[in-house]
Amino acid sequence: MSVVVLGIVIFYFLLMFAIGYWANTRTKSAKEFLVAGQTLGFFVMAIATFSSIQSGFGMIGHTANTYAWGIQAIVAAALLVPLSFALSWFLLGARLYRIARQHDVYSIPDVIRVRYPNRSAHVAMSVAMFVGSVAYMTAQVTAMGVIVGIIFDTSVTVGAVIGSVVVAAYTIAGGMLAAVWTDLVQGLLMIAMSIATFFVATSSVGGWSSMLRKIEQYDAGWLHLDATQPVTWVLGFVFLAVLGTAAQPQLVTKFLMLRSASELRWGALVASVAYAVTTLFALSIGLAMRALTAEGRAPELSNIDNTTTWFLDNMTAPVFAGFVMAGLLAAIMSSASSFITIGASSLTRDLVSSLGRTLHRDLLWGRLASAFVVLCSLLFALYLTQVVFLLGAIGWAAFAAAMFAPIVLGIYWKRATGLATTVTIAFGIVANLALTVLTSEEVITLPTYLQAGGLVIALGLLLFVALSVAFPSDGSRRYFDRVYAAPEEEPRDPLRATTPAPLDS
Amino acid sequence: MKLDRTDVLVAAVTVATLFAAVGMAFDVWQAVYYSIPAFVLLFMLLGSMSSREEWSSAVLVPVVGFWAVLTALFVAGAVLMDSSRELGGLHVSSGIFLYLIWPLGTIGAPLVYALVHHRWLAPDLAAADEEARS
Repeated sequence: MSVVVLGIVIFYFLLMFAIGYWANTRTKSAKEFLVAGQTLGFFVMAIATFSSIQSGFGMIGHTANTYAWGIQAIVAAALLVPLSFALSWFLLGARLYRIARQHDVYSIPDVIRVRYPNRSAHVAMSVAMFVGSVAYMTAQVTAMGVIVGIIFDTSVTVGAVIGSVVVAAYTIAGGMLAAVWTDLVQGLLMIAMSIATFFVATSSVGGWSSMLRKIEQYDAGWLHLDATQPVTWVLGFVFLAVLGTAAQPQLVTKFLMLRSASELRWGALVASVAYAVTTLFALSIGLAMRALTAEGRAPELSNIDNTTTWFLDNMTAPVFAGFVMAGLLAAIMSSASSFITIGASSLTRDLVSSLGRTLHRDLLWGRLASAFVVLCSLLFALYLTQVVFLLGAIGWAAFAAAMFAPIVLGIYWKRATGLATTVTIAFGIVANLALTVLTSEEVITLPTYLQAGGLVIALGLLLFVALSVAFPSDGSRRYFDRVYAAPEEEPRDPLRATTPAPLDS
Repeated sequence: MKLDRTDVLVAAVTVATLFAAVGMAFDVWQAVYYSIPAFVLLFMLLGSMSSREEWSSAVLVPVVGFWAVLTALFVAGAVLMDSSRELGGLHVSSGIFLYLIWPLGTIGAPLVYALVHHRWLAPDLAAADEEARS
């Protein structure tokens, strides 16, 4: 990469450090470290939410899939995500705001703690959050290794270490406050990069209409909903995206950080539009590469993961490629920083309190736990590929299966129980792990039309409702009434005291 | 067993999920496809309920209106799946998703939320805050 590109990326790193330093001066307690002091306005919160959801996979992976499958890849994974942001605001906004204002709730396991009496549900969600955060971080470390390696012309290992050190430095220094403000910068960079890329990519094949015409002349199937993948599989992916968005921890946690109820009003619009704009990246490069292949100007790529890098290397100026690389790095880092803080919270606040213990100097422990999450992810990414393979199964679908019903239905439905929550969390994680292992070892073969993640989410929800109805709990009902009650009616802050005795027992 | 509004909505979500699960498991794409607008309506209704489990016409009109347009587009997309027509250079079903459903979901749904929040949820949140303090 040229000196200009290195300059852009080094400036970007320095800006992240500066935000980390600024956030560090304002982080005096766990409340600042874990939920940004509940000071966020709608714009920062919404951009931080979209940028933490739009990961490296969303940019590079969707581009590869669009190149390989055609328009159906974008329909499957991206076109209804903006709608699901709006649904997340409907489902979570007002209820989580009330819970966060009336209890000391800084995390998803905290929501479980105040909503259900069962300690097992709190422990299960805390463990799921830690394992899931390390899993997500491991994927981001691997992606950072590739991108930083290209930018600095070094190995993937060195790239992963550089990227991890940068994101760890500002997140450990400033916690969630640093994470959301760096997410804001990163999100705006992703938006600018995606708009520019859309015009560059479509121009490279004569514009939008010309691009579609060339693809149609080559093979009109690329522009059909039922082209290369079975339509049931595509719709299973849509189901996964629509229900899964509202159950991703990096999104749910943001609703605990707002400074006032009025900040909810326009957040959905900002997040939806921002996400839709960044979808232009995958849409334009994926389809442009297909048109270039149709014209004979690009080879048929044997490894579709190289779609983005081939386009940048061969069809754009080095400075533009560097700008895009910085944007891709931003997409990866914005997801990583949220998961570092969520993982740290699950260790130092959630797991400890779920076991009835108390931690003093929680800010220091939060920082140490953040470093531990990064270190685990780095070691797994670089040296334990089998662990990476298993952790890869605990991603979007596992979180959605484990969290959707207990959190989204649980904050509305009196009959939802702690027992059902514990079983559903375990089912979501174990079912995704089992399917990954069994299919990769060829013990079972799934039909090509079956989107396994979508089916696991559906089964998790059905299991949750069935268990809640079959085994009703007076304790869970009382906790439901109490979760929206006045502050003086709630138990003492469990972080400072022992966990409240389960009402069920 | 006396059912309240939330019970009914959760039951409806369960039925829609069952349809989607059967569709995914047995390759019935229509069951998965039509579960999506059903979820949209049910989630909007669930999220529009006040703390007293009530709605108002100020909420129901925009929510049902949005859902009706979205569902009409979904129906059009399914009916035209085997058509040879084009929309904006794409096969017509893909075109409906890219040029109509995508912007509707991106702009329309958040605007409905903003309206519902302004007219119904924000006053309810303020009242709930007041009640909690008193």
